[in-house]
Amino acid sequence: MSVLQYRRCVGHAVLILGLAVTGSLSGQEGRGRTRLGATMPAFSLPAVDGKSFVYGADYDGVLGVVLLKAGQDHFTRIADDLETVVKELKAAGKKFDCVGVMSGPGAKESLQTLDPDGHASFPVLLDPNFALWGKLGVIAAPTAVVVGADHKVRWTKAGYGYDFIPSFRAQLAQALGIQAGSTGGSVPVETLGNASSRARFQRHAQMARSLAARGRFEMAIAEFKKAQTLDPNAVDIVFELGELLCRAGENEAALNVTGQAQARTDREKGRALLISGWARRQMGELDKAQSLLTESLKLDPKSPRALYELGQVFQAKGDVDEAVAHYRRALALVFQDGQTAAPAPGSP
Amino acid sequence: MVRVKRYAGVIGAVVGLTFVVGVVGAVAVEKPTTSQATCVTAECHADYSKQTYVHGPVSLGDCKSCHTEADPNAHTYSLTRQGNDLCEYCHLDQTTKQHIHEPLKTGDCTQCHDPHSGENRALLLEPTTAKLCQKCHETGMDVKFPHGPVAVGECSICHASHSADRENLLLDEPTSLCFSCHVITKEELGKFEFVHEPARNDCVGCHNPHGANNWKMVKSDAPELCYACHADIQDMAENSAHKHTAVTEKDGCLQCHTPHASTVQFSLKAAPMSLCVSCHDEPVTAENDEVIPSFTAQIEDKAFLHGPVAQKDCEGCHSTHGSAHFRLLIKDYPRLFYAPFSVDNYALCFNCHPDSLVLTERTAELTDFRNGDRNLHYVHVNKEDRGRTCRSCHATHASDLPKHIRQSVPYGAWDLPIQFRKTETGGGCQPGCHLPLAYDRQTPVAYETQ
Repeated sequence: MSVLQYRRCVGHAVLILGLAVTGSLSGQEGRGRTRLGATMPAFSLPAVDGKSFVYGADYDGVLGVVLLKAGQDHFTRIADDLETVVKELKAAGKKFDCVGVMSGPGAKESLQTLDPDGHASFPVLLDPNFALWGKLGVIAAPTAVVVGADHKVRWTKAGYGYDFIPSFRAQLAQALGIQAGSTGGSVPVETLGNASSRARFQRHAQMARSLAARGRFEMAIAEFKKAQTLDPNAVDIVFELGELLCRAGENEAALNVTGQAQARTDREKGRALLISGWARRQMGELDKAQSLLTESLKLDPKSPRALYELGQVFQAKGDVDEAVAHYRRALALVFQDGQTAAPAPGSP
Repeated sequence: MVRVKRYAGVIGAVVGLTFVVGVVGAVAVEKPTTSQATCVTAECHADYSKQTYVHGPVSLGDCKSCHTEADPNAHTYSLTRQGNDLCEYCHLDQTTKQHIHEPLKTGDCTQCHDPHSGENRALLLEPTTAKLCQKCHETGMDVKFPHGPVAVGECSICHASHSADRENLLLDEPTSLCFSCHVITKEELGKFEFVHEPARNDCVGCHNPHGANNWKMVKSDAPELCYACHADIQDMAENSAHKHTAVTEKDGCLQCHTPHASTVQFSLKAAPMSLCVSCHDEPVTAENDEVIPSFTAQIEDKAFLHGPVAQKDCEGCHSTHGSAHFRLLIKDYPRLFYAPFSVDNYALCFNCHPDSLVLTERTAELTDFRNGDRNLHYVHVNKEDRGRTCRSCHATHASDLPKHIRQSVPYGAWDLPIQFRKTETGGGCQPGCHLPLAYDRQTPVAYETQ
């Protein structure tokens, strides 16, 4: 072996030994992993005011941690959003901590842009040496971690993406027992669309009512029919259409429409009988109308229209006293005035 | 013979005159020359009472409510009161509000109403309010997409006919008026976190309330409509060095954004990546004729995704509306394989990854890519001359190798395989760049000096 080769060997040996020593020390400290279900490592980090936040085995409760890096883009927006989230959850009466950790050289300077009074619910700690960053094996900022009361990591997410804040909120809420279920780390996507059948149904129904109020019966009937097509199960619309057909004098059509309605409750059955009675009255079938309207009132005694229609039947039959009595009862219901309420028919 | 013809002519004229007098005399009624109890009789003004809707005084035969006898002999009358006073004597509450319809101001009620009777409700001169309003106003009926109330000719659904507390005689605040019919929209707006502000309180900012030739009655198509408020986006879209044509084409904004509300930030219609792959699932030719490869093909079946890709957040690296940087990147990033290192050059990556990753020679916290505490990112990237850019080792979007290490790197005409392998405590590469090397965090590998 030459002198040069010998020196090289010795040099390599020293290098290997040196690396082995330093490597073994540093490799054994070093980065951890943010595995779900793993125990959150203990840490103690100072805030800008010098007070330390300590997390350890005796910490009691849920913890949210958001790791940031010095010079973090959108830092103020992130802090504002998280402040809002924390305030919302604390307003629900839940006790927990949510801290930011500004990591890397320049951490303190990065916090100078933040108004501490405006972010009292989301204090930001200083970690210039990436201590917690390393323990958790974080790669990118921001990274959010939610730790349960059992000190186990429940959830982690990196990157200030479109669902960062909603997901963090949802995961904290679940950890605090406010919200059940799992978002799976992302939010379900929904948009507001006014082209749904429900929206269109409402619009046609509203249009129908507006037109009916202005005496545009033909067009109102057409709009109610469009609404009915969009939701054939909407019983109330069928009844509104039936009443409008009666007002328009289309008695046969009113009877047809009401005959198809699936009345379930007493009120709905009463309404169906009212429309039938109304149509029959207009068709001159007074006895039939009286029977239907009387039945309707048994099911829905507070229907001014049924009382009015029955009054109309009595009037057509020449029974003025009964007619007036029913009209008065109808008016009493409309005006909610006990003084105008007439005694029941047949009483002195 | 001439005498017979002359006499026949005279007789014919007399007969004709008698006929005319007789016929005309049968329909002509002599005007009364004295005061009458009522004007509506079978002989006079009979039509007034025969129509469906009759003005109250007419139905009562009380013409004197409005007409005062001037000269009974001549059967002439004047109006009892002048201007507004005539109708307002009975119809008291029509002008009580701040904004008054012009005909009412000038006392021209008969511009819209027949004072005696008519076939239309409220004695309107036309069967629908729109037909009446059209005489003075543009009602918007002649557009391709008229608003519902306009289409049915019922302006009074939104506008008061006489007076109102609001401008344009609106019955309510504009947005409340819209929500009186668009009930579901109002209900749902309350449920969404991200609401386009005009949807909450300024529907007419985007929609013409009468109608328009554009679908959904918008005043103009996107993106022009959107640029009216989002001038900054227009600037980016039209003036950036690298433009995104999906933004500037017709309806561009609506390809990604919903105009009302969404559960996704910035009112996106779906997760960002879902929107992007609607175009970028196939190769796309950019404006400079550069072909952008299919994104879907790059990530399909790959085991390891770059963070923003895993989060479906293309905006983590790309600027959707336009950019000063190639490939619409949000910040600087070197195009080349080798680049002299500077923090500014890697602004894109340092947006998420701390620059200490490359600036720190020795670390146990910042990275797992280290031999002991010797930071191998520092070794590879932080070179004054031929630093390796991130892309020389990492696939930008996805890879089958851990840490989305590339399978190979293009190097001139060659494709050099990297052959990265990961171990429990380290890993190694057998690339074309250097001899096979390994690293170990716990038991650092000794490297032969050359």
